[in-house]
Amino acid sequence: MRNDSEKPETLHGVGIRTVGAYLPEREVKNTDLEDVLLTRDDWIRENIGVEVRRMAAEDEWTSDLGAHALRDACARAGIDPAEVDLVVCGTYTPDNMAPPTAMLIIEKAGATGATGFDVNSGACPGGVFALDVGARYIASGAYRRVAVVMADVSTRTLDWKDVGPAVIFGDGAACYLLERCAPGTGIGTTLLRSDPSGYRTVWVPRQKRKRRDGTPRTSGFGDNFAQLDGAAVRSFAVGRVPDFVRELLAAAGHSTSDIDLFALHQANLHIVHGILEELGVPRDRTVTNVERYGNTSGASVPLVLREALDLGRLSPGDLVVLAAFGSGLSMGATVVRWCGPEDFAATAGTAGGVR
Amino acid sequence: MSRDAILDTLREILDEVAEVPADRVTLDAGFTDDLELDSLAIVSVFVLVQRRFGVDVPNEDADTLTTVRAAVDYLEQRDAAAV
Repeated sequence: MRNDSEKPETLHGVGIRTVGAYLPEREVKNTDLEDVLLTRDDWIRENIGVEVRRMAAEDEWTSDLGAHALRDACARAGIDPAEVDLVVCGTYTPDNMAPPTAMLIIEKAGATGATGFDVNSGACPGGVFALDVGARYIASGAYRRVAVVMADVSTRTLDWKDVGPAVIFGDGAACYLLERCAPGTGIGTTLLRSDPSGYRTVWVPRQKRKRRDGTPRTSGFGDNFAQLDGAAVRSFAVGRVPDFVRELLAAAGHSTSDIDLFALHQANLHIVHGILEELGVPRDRTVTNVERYGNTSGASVPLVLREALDLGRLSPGDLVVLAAFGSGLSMGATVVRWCGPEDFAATAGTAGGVR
Repeated sequence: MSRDAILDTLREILDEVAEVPADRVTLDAGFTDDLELDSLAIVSVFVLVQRRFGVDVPNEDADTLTTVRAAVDYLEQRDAAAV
């Protein structure tokens, strides 16, 4: 049975109140990569579209990035992190295999009292998959305020001898702060799809890798290394995501011309542009950040939203499509009627959720 | 540098970048069609060529060097011109 999800029939909607963001300070330019990789700045710009990316400091892990993003989302909403009820961390690069990274985010951000767990939906698709998980807890009434934290240290999965993944990824985090909103606003129709036949198209397998002298080569995650087939990823993204978005819009009763902003996963600048071209959507209806941050995995879509908000490109009442895709191969897309303060105020006096 | 020495060095580079077996690196082999290198790997090959041979290979030159023979001819000429 397909897992399409129509918006639940509830007395309230699920709105994205704020979007928090955090990018590590350290910038790594393409020309810096030329020192450690057999590559060229101009090739990366022309073929990937990345100019510079951020890299977590030695002592920074996923939970550090995520905690910053959660605190930022709360600051923007004018609330204390202790007022968050549930923390869902979307990550494929947990600080440790157990407990969930959400635990450390709760501790480091001071979200004392929140319940937490992680959602690993395959890195890049998480920007919609993890959001959908968090949104369902608000829709059901179980929680009143949910922080969906998308955080990854993708550069720790790299083998610095494998140029393909190394020129693409960057580290970063973002946080959707979800609350009840007025009925008919907020997160609407959501579609999720998975195709395991593409399991090895972009993945982080366990492999024993050795240097020429026979000594083991490791990533920040030991024997786990990011690996991808760039041509196959591009073919999947540009070949299948546009039809998927059309299916979403048809299910939601909208056409592409109704959409004010397309927030697409920042896999590669040319993939973003290719999807828009297939959809017949002009580039001025999107915002991109892959040029400056690289592919930040599940954080890329909320980081696009955050930037659109800061640029004044996203306003209450606007219709936004969020589309995240990648490892799985999986795709997730949702259409959101962006909420303003009055949409949240309308539900402020309603009864609290079951804790 | 002799043509044989240039070819040997190219074989080392192709082994290092993409683990191409030396016996496949013949003069008639094409980097894309025969050695199955993608554009990212070809960039890596020419980055190493520049380092090993100590010559600057502009992108517009590298783009025309699609076979091992073309690369050997080019590096032989550059080597002769430098003498």
